[in-house]
Amino acid sequence: MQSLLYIIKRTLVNTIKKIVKRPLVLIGYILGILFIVFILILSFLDSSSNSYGSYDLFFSLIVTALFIYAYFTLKKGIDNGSSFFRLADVNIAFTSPIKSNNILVYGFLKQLTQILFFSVLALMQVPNLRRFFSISQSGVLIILIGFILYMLTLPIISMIIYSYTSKKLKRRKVAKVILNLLFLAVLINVVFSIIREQTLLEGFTMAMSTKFISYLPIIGWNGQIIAYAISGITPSFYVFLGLSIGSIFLLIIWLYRMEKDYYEDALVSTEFKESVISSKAKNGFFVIGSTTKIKSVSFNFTKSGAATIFQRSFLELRKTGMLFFDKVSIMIIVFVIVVRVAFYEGTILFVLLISVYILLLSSVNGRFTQELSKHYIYLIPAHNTTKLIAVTAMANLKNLFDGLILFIVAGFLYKESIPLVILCGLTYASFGAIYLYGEVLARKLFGAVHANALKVFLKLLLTIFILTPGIILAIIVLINSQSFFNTVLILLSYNIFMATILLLISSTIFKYIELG
Amino acid sequence: MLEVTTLTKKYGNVLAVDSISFTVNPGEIGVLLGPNGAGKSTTIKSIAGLLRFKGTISICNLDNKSIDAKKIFGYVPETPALYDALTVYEHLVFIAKAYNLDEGWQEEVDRLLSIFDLTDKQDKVGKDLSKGMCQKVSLCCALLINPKVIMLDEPMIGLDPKAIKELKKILIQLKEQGCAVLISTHIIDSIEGLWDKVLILHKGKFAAVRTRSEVDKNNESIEQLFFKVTEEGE
Ligand SMILES: Nc1ncnc2c1ncn2[C@@H]1O[C@H](COP(=O)(O)OP(=O)(O)OP(=O)(O)O)[C@@H](O)[C@H]1O
Ligand SMILES: [Mg+2]
Repeated sequence: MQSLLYIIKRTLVNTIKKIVKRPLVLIGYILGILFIVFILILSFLDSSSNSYGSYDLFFSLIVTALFIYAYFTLKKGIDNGSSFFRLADVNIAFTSPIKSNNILVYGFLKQLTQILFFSVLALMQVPNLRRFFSISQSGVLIILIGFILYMLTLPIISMIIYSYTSKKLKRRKVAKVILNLLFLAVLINVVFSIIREQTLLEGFTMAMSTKFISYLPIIGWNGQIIAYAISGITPSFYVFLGLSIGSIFLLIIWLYRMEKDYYEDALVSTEFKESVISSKAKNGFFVIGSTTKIKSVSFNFTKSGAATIFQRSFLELRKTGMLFFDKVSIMIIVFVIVVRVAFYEGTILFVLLISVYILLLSSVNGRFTQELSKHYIYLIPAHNTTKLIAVTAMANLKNLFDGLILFIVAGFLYKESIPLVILCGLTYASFGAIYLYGEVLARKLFGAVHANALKVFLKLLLTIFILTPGIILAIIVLINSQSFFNTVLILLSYNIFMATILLLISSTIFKYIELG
Repeated sequence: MLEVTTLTKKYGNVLAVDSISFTVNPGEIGVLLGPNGAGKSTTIKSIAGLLRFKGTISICNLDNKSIDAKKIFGYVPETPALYDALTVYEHLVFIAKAYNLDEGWQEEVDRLLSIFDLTDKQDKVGKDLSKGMCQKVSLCCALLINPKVIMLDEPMIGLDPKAIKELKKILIQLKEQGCAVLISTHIIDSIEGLWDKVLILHKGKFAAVRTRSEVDKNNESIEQLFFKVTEEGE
């Protein structure tokens, strides 16, 4: 164990040493840390809190978030495994005479750093939660504890499922079906409850805050822990805390007992993870996983120059059978319906605002980062700007597609005119473009690794300096003209202008960026 | 001593290695020769304990996945993977700690670093190394533990001529110290004059196995043998 801790320690020291040598990156990190501290202080100090929301509603929301997170983590886990390790660990540590359970614990410790990052993201949501629920100062701490425990538990469950299912293709299929059915059951239960109760919030709360869900292992327990943030700590809090921590230990023991020989599973999922890391395409869509089936399709390249890049990504899309209409699109439709029912007095502008905020938080970049990690793009003889446009075309199209779906549904629900619907769809895509080129620019300035680490902070900068002026401008137009059409038109024009500037600045990425 | 009996490895439905058996005795250099995709890396990864397999593999009469076996074998992977943020020197310190090496490993580290011209690069971190330098560090890690059995997967790839010469010298030294050496390669020339036993792997099976004396006696050329057995029936 001591030798493994040595790796962690030296990695930390050397990374800090390197950062200190690059002023720009150092400033980025210092500001980033100040920003985190600021958020922390803000969430602890600000004691003004409201109490519109009931305990049950809070619990239901939390549990829903936990369910959704579990669904995607487990699904990904079944497909690609979930690995705590890097290839160096596999080649060097796995072959050394260190007990495999110690190596597992070490992997677990490394995981903590990632969880820290997510915790910051979670903390950023606290001010939002405070607007609806009465959360005390100690409540913030409780939310964090519950959240971290949950983030620790899921990867272990995911590894257990993976090591069981990875042996046979059939098991994998069955596991996926079971997972889908389980979550479908929860969803159907909610839908029925809403129909029964006739109101969205009550139906939803009724369905998600049942005794059954409250006592459901892991999800229910951690949900309860987090929910003590608004009810205040009672002795039963410690029971759930004990249950949650105990289950982590039990799961680790289970994992270790069932699979002393987890090295092969780790090897496969690590190789996949490594390819993802090297392309820095984390959480992107259109990323080809280790179990993605690749079809053969006949295809002709009709374009030349940079446009072939776009054609190639289209070919890849067809080969992997991934479509524009994917889970994101479905979630978007569900989302807009939920917004419509939840906020009776909302408008299409309100939908635009929330959807763009969610897009900012999720930022699906996918393909283009993978493209930048291969050398071809740098060699193709074409203009830099054309190349960047070609590389990002797919992501922009996807945003446009999602935006149009979103606002066709919204336009229908809010009975808005077709031109406004189209305009809103375009605006949604224009926000996507700004995020995208903002990210390319960040990579140019900081390099892929640091841009990734500073993501939360950079997004904040992007929001303050680039998005906010446009939104303020749009609000002024709205007040003066009272016309949604004019407002969105102004917003769109401003965004296109900004996206173009970002595109032009960042397209020199091909001149300066270093491959790999 | 390395003993492999009826080793079989399937990746899903792909049969990568099909019931192969062989031994490499102490003081022997065995060479796994085979075209791309023959199953060389799969065999070596199985021996290194990174894969699940059918059959038995023993290292000096110990099960290859046991802790005691791990203490005495070295493994040089096909593509070196180092810790991004650990320096060359720190990699070796880690190995010394992980293997609980006896006092005096520092001198051995210095010796290995100077053999492979890494002394002035020992403070560079893994991410900043060239491919050949990574390969050298990977070799040093495997050699530092003074192994009784060592597996090297395409070890010459990316090395400069001096490093190749040094590596060959080290392999001969290991052999003299009674270490069992297993090298995989598809470049026949690279192991000329080094091997004691050649195992030609083709589509997961041995197409031919020869000892040095058999080859000398029949005046065979390994190259001709290789093409003969790997092109049969194609
Ligand atoms: N993770 C994997 N999943 C599925 N098949 C694999 C995997 N790894 C290897 N194979 C298959 O197993 C066979 C043997 O591969 P292996 O890597 O052992 O070959 P090799 O002899 O080392 O080739 P090379 O000279 O190219 O390194 C090949 O047919 C390969 O396609
Ligand atoms: Mg190989």
